[in-house]
Amino acid sequence: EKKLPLRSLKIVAESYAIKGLCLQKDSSGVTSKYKKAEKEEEMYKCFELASDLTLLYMQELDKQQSATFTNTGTHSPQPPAVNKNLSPVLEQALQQAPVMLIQQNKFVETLDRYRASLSAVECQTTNVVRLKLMCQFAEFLLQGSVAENYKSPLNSPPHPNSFWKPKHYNGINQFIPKVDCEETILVLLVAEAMAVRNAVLSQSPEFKEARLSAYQDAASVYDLLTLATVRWGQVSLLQESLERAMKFSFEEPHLWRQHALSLISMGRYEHALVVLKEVIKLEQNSSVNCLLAAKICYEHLNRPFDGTEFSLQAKTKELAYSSGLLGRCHLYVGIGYHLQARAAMLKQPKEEYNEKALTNFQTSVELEPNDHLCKYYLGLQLALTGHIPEALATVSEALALQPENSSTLHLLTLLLSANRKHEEALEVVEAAIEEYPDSLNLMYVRAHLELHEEGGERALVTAKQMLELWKNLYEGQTSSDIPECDRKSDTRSVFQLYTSEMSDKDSSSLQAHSIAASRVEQALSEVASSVSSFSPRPGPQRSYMLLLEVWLLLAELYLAVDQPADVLKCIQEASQIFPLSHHILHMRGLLHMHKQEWTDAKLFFQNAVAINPQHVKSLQQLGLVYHYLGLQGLAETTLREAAKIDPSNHITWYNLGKVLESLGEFETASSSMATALTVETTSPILPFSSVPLCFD
Amino acid sequence: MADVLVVDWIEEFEALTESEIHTYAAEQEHNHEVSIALHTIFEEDHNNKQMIIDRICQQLFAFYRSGESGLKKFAMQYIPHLVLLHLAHRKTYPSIETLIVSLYNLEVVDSKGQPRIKSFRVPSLAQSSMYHDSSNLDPAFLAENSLRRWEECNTKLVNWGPLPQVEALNAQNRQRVVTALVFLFNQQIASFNLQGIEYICRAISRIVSQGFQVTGGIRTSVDSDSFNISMMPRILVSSQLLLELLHIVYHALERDVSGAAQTLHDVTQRATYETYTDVLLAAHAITNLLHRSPAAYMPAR
Repeated sequence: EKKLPLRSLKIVAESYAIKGLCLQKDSSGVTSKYKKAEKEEEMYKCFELASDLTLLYMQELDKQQSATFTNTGTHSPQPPAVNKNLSPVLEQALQQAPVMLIQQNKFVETLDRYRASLSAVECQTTNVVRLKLMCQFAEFLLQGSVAENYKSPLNSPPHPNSFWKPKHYNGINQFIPKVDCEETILVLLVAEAMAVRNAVLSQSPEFKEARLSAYQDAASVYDLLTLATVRWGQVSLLQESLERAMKFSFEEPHLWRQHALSLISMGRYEHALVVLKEVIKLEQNSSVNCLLAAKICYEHLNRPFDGTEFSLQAKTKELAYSSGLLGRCHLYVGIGYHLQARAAMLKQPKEEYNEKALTNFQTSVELEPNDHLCKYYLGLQLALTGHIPEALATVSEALALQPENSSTLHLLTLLLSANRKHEEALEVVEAAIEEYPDSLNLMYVRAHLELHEEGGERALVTAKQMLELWKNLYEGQTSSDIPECDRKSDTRSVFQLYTSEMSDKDSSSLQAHSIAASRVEQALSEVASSVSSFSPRPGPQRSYMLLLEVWLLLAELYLAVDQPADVLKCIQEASQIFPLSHHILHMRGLLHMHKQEWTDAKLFFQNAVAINPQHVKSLQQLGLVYHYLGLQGLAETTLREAAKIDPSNHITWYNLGKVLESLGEFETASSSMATALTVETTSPILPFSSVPLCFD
Repeated sequence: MADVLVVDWIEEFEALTESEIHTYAAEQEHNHEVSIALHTIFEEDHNNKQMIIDRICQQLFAFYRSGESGLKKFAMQYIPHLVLLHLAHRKTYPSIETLIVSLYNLEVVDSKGQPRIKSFRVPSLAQSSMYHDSSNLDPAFLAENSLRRWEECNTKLVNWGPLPQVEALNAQNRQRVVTALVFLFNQQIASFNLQGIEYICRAISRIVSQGFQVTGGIRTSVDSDSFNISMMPRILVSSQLLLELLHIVYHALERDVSGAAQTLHDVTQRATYETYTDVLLAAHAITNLLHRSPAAYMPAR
């Protein structure tokens, strides 16, 4: 193996390549196993030599050309005609060498061969074949053929210095993979960089073919990268790459869609929605994109109106090009109306939305008799509109289809309590907690039921369990000093956060929150943190809000068992997390009520209502306080306001009755009390809207 | 037929003495007939099978515990099928549940009883590697994220595990436990025999499409029960589990297992229905790879 001049190098390489290919073609005559192995060995030797020599030849060629190029200066405006293409024989030899080894099931040798070819310093001419090889190599690794026998290149001997070997990447502080996942991702990232460099940006028709082929090469790299990253929850890596791909993927639905999906998976919903709109435009016939958009509108962006629009669009598409999602479309439309009804203030539109939601849920149940989610939503809608027996029947059907769904069990519990069957409700919720031991939602309901059925002591035990549970589930999340955004990306990888299931499923709050109110609170707390020394705790706010609600529950329970000192302590704990929550103000008001300090109570309830004018519980109490203070007119208006917001709350009607009685309007007082009695027979222990939005 | 074979196989193992186990283990790897017979039993209609399935589970567990790597691997290859059976007929086969819990608890710790963790670094192009030189790179690849990743490369690892032991399966942990098992199966998927994977693909198809009306897509294998399959209850499959199952399908496609294309279609359908974004990402990627180059990258083996 002596040093060869450029010309001979090519000739030798080609002759070995041709010999290898000939041997491959002529495999008929061999019968004995031993001879066959011998021949395969020889064939491989030829390909191996041909590959190494080809790479070396190309490197030398590159060197020479760049040398002549710089020598001649830049007189000529055109670069010298570079021999861009590798001769087909040499290219085939490069590709055949590893493929042959795979066919012979020699996986460890295949690994070495790919590495030898790919770690050779890249030069212009080898660009195309190198990209192909990289994709093949990644695919080979992804298949896991070497999984158990994988050896890190760290342990392999250094490349022998020979005149017949190409130059390899070398340097200090190189990244050298230790496990196959690292190597797969590394190879694909390098391949991506090459594919992006090759991409053709021009849209003019003369480059169409070149553009398409470059795009397809790049798309393969992205597809392989998808397979390598998604299982490990590393979508952010993929998304970064896909974002780079956007510049050469004009009107290419595949990569656009992948980009949108990766954004949703990462939780960047605003951005995802914008990309999705583009995808919807590109893929005219596909309804699923609209459904995805609708779902993020409902679940994360709090834009029920837009969500409904998307769902309706999906329905239109589905009617024109059916793909079996019509039932889902109706369901999503229904959810949209359902959410709009919740947000609506006025009676008439609210009823219209409820009506539309109901019909859509009914249609979806007809279309998908096997789907528990449709039945669940139908049940929820019936419950919200006061049809408790029908709702119970529907929810039981949903449970028959999917006996372990936590939302359905939650709803069933509330329905039973609305039906005055608290004991049964408690049984159901206890069974549900057995299946979902980490669900704070279900515990919350249980505590309230226990308070109702067995008294405060028992409920206190449950609430304390919730505190402990919170500590186990979330403390690890909040104590570390990684910034929040990073931790979120951790949470996305299921393998890391065992306890994330519940937090993934739940909405951020145990109670039904009004969005507007939480925005006001947010703004206030920003002001507060700028003027006072209060600073929000580090870590994800979501989990702290849960803690806050557990403290408030405890406060409520202590109040019920008449321990005002403990109530105060709980309130203090809660205020340390988020002092301006209207729930805390409400709780403070209740405490003052308990001590019969009407003026203080009034102040707190007024503050709570100022933050959240829709907070029925505060309005009810405020009305009562006015009543005790002798301000009957004010009391009546406040309570009528509360009744307007939630006409099915018996406490409001009862309080109103009391006020009217002291005003001397006995007629109306008695009818108000009667209303209280009737609505009480159908009112659940906690509002139906406290069941978190669910999609599975 | 299969039953007889399997019963013989069970009895043979029961009669073994300690010293014979090693040679027995070496044989099992090539015991093609029995391994297919087992798949057939798992696939068949599930009436009056408790007895034999109980015994099979016992034996597989014994294999697992035997300390022979060959036997362990033999048991491993049934993980997906057992998982799918468990999801579909939880009440009928308590023994499968027991087996799943035991295997899981054995697998999440290593031989020293420490929690098992698989982790790797995320490479960054900003750092030169054995395959490239970062100084020749387009500046777009040296953006902030890339540099940050380089900085964190050795400290911030991607992890699988540590997973906690479980006492029993409930609605909260069931999907996670079985996902972990299928993940472990996937670590060794290349070493399992193809015919078995074909059975598994069929089982995956059944699981994901049970309870759904068959829309489009030509069923290549005529299921005898394809008429009542839409009447049966749907089976909950979490997106993570579906992702692992999809990996099996990908593997099957690459190795040209017949019927795998149908399974890919079924899985994609289900992921679309449930709007599981990560599964859709992977499913679209696989579909696209197939469309562009049916086995052009890799020769069929």
